[in-house]
Amino acid sequence: MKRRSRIAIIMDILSYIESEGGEALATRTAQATGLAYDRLIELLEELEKKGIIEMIADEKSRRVILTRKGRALLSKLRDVEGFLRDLGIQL
Amino acid sequence: MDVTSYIIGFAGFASAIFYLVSSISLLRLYYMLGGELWLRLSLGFAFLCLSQAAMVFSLTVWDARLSYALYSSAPALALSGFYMLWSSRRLPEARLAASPLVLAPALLDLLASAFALTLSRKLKGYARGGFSLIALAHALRALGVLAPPGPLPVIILVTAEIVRAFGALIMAAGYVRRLL
Repeated sequence: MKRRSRIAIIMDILSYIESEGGEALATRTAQATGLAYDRLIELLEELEKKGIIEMIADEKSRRVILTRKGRALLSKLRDVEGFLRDLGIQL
Repeated sequence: MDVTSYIIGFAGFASAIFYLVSSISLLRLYYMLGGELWLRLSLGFAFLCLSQAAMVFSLTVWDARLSYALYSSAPALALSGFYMLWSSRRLPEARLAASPLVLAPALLDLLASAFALTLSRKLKGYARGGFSLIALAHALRALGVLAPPGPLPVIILVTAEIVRAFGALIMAAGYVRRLL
């Protein structure tokens, strides 16, 4: 299987959260994107610092919410992805 | 300035704006997400923007020495831009292709043309058309240098710059909505 780039992984995470209506459980997100839970949390913490997602944790679970900035970023990434594909560059 | 200069100036300026918008857009993604790829692509388009600006000013400034300096810097900047885009594809032969840069600085236009042509063969859509025209423009510039003194080199240069600006405009038409 081809190794995904960091950007492709982030796009997969954001796309999954969006497909779940903008809010998803971290465990489900890890399963859906094929990432180890710890690796996912590491990435999510980075994205949270930049205001792309929000994380709400309680005793049982951790929910991830896509912010408005995150939705805008995902849309931009999809647009740029098409441009880069034409340049022969895959994310 | 005659009408031709205005047309070249306007087309060249519009092209430079497209490259600048692309560069800023990709730089913003770099700040947002990190990743060397965004930075390389952003720098690639920034070089193409500078090259385009150098081309426009080389035709519009009155001082001959400044015009010549700008004229000779345009292909070097374009070559840097193409190389940035080329190396973003992570192809091993890109490193080998860079070696003539050191050996043949006098043939920068030919090198820029070769790079742009080789790059364009791997591309699709508007990018392929745009970079093919830019490759053609650099080949014409190189031809213009070899042409005998007289009106011919000027005609070749003007044609080359129209072709070059048109190449960038094709990409602008196709991609500016995606990048804004």
